[in-house]
Amino acid sequence: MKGDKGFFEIIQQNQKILHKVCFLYTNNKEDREDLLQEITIQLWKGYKSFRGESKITTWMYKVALNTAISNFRKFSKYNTRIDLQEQIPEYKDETEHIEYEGLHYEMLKHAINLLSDVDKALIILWLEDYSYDEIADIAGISYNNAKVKISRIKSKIKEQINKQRYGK
Amino acid sequence: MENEDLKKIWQSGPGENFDMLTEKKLNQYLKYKSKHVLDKIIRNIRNEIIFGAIALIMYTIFFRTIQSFTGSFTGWFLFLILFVALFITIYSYIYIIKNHSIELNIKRFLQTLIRRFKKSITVTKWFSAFLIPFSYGLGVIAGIRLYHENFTMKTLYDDPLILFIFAAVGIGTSIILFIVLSKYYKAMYGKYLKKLECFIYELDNEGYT
Repeated sequence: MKGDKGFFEIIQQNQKILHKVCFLYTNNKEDREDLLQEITIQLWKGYKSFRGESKITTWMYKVALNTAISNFRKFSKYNTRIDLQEQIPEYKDETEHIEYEGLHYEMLKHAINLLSDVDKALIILWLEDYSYDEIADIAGISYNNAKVKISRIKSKIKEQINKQRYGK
Repeated sequence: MENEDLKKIWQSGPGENFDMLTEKKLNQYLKYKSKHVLDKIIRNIRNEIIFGAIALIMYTIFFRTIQSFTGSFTGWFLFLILFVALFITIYSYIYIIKNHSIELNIKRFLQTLIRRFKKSITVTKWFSAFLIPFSYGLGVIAGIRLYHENFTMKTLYDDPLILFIFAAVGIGTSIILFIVLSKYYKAMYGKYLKKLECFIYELDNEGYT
């Protein structure tokens, strides 16, 4: 397969989407690279039939999240969420992220990492400023369901961040 | 902590701490085959079609050159089995290509994936466990007929011992193959399929989170 210029431009302009999804759905560099490659291949396959009915970023999120959630490799190598807490090391902020009242990106990432794959997908979309309607559409669930779930996920994240910040 | 704080922090990550996707790197990625389970299924079916077509062509050549085959029920029956198997394989290939899309919403994508995956496993299991021993048995009968002109299906029925050995070997092989394949697929993909089903349950159930 050989990509075309238009496709490369779209990926390069929106590569943060891919990196964010890969960062949250994998636990090491090797898996991250594999997932990034798989998402790129799936995007390229879908690009040829993409008719622009939705925003390009929405389309990219759909493909990236579907690929990440159904990624078989991690099922064969790792156990599920139950073991995740043990696998994730304590956060350490090595990059120059924005700090907002003592809250770091790594803290947020750590809290999201403790969620299930489905919850991760919903909260990513909410954090990316998608409306509940759009989230419900991307996930294939009802508006109310999306709203209730996201509200619960937010509470979980805040609770987890507070634990990290204040130890309670 | 406000909701907007979370969004602001999210927008700041993951910083510049990742390798930029250059055109060269993207081209490199696209050189590889997809490792996604569904793409693997599609590739397997494609290989089965090629293998089936070759088998059918070879059998047709063989069938036409050997007189005793054209006049025999087993010869025609084996031909029909091969033809139907190839037809079903081509049909499932077209069906998957047409109906699968990774751009569907998450729930529908997972539902389609599970359905396709389960169907593919079931078809492979049944085909392998029953078609292989059955075709093999028919092949053996057809082969015997080549050397023993007076051998007919009646000869087989008239000798209970041959019939018994035939049936025992055939049924035994089928059962063993079926059990082995079931265990293999369960060990290989059981956990994966269960997890995908959990995801759908999680999506549907408001009280789950």
